[in-house]
Amino acid sequence: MNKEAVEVQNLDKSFEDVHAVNNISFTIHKGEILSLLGPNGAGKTTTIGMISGLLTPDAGEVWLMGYPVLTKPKQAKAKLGVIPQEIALYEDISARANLNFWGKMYGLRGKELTQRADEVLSIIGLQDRETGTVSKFSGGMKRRLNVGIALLHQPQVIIMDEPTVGIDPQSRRKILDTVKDLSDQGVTILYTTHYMEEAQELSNRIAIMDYGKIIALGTHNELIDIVGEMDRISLTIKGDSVKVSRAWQDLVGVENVFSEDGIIHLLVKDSNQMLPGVFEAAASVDVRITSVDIQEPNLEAVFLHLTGRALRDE
Amino acid sequence: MKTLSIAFKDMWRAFRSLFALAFMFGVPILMTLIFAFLFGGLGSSGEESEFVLPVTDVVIVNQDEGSQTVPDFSDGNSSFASLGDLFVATLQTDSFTDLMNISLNDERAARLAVDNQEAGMAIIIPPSFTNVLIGQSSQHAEILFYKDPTLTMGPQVIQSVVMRIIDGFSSSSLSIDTIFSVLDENGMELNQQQQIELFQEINENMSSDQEGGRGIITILPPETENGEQDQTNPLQFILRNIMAGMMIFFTFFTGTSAAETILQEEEDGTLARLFTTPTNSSTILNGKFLAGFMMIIVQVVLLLIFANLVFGIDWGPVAPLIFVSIGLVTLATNFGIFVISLVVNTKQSGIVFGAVLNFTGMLGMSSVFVIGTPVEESFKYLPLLVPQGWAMSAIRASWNGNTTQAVLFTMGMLVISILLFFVGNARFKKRFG
Repeated sequence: MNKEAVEVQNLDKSFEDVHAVNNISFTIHKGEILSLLGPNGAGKTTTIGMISGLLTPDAGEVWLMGYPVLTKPKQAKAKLGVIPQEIALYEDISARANLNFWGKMYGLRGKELTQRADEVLSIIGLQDRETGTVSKFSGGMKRRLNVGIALLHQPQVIIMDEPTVGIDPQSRRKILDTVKDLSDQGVTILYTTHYMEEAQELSNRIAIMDYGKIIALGTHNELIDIVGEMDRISLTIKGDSVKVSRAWQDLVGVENVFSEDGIIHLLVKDSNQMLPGVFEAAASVDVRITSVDIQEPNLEAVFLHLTGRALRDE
Repeated sequence: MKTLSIAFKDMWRAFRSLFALAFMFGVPILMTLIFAFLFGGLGSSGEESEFVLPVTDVVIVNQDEGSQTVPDFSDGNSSFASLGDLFVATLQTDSFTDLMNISLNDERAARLAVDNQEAGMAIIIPPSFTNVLIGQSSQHAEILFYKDPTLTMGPQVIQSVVMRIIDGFSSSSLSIDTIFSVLDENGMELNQQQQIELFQEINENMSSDQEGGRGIITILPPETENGEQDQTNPLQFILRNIMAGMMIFFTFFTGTSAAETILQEEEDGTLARLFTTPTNSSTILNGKFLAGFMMIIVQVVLLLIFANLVFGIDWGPVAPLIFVSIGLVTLATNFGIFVISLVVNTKQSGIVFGAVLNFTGMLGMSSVFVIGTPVEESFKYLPLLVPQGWAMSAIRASWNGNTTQAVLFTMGMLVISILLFFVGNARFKKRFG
């Protein structure tokens, strides 16, 4: 059990009629970045709430660096840093005062606290604003301080709940680089996001969640393999969509045809080879193609393949 | 250590807030200042300060027709045709020149003078005044007080004075009735001349009592536990009550505000974040409770010292004052914990500030607002229905030097505190534990 940084077994949680997390199990290896990818309401925040000890599961157990969160919360939480989705800072005091207070909550004192606060200010790039009142910071600066607080006690596991929501590209880049640096230092990271590009860029492994369940878990390539490394051609048309879908389904090389929100999606082996045939088949049933979009295999396609729904639209 | 860190953080945040500082120190001091200026005398500080009531212009309408049975009345020095004349003459003595300017007029003119705010009050004496008082009429005689509603203190005091004089007249009448009854039961009867002589004798005796003995109105300070009379001047007496009331009202406000930070932090996400640190929920809640306790200590100590130095308020013996202050701080803190534990979010806590704090606070210090009024006695126990009333009673007992009573009230405060904490803490633990 101690070999894994995070071990989740048969975790289950319901809120009245909503089954938010449905019997999920996974592990995160030491030093690994695992991204929890899924649309809003998939159960990501509930899952990390239970891992961080904020929520008590209805069933199942969580271990952090070998310590059971339910029965030894203090030891488990000492190993953990949590970056909440919403900015959780005392905005009426300075960045330094925030770091000092949160450092004390993690058990830091005296010189060690001052030194760690200095280091964190440097990591998040706020050394020159340390005495500034947080309420006067930009959204990106607040996000960076929000991240910094979780790093104060040099945790071995960090949970990041959508840390880049609603910030400027510069701050986003800074946070993503910080995540990579932490991973290089051997810190284990559980990263939740609904931005597949972030999951793709950062993660060693990705778990895709939907309706409280983990529907796929693996490396980026392993997940892409689920859709058979197929390209996706998305078309908007004028004409009979049923007829044209049937015509495209009959084409050799088209694996799947489905429609969503007025757009018809084709999963094909090689989009470049297939395009002429797609246009010809449309013309044969008097359907005019008004737009074409080609996407090579990505996590969006994986989600679409597994759920029949687009990740971004949720 | 973490408990202290949380408490100091909350204090630091509170003392950086102008809003919080205003309600902790500014408003109670400002309210007391307003009362000080209202009652006057603030400018002459220290022992020279005096309580000064404004002189009220009073128009008396004397419609008393006198009595054919008793043609003249004497106060020992002069004789009068009716008791109405005697009553007017009494009010015109030097004893009342600091209180009222007397003039005589008819009813219409008197009412007009009050309506036009040329006079503060009109006193209308009915035609049957003498006959009713000497028992020659079975009807009631009603004295009408027609007051300017914009004035409060002056007319109120004058009405009390007049009622006291009328009570004196009524006593004469009752004495005569009693003598007649006793004589009648023993088969004796006085002729008309004897009745007149008896009435005049009683009347003269009562008049000389008022002049030779105590004045008609004598304001006596409350007696201390040792039977000594408190020499506090009336201005200080009122200021001390107002200041104590304001201090109690706003310490409860601070206690509730401090406890409200639990809800505020829950909404801001910082409470959830605290729960993800290796700090147990009891430590976090205790830190929040301690913050309120420490803030109120600072508030009470500064207000007591400020009131003493600036308003010259004497808070009485130090030892009971410290004991009562500890009770007040504990009670205000736990009252806040209790009321905030009953609400779900800061929107609901607005109702607590608007309604619960105001209602309990005003009821608790209601005894301050009825000092010197006829309902003062009724408000002796009513405020004890709310915690603020216990605090007010305790601090009063303390400055009066009634240590036993101060200790008892403080013990009551501590018992209420324990009950409030028990309920509030249990509810918070259930919610966040």
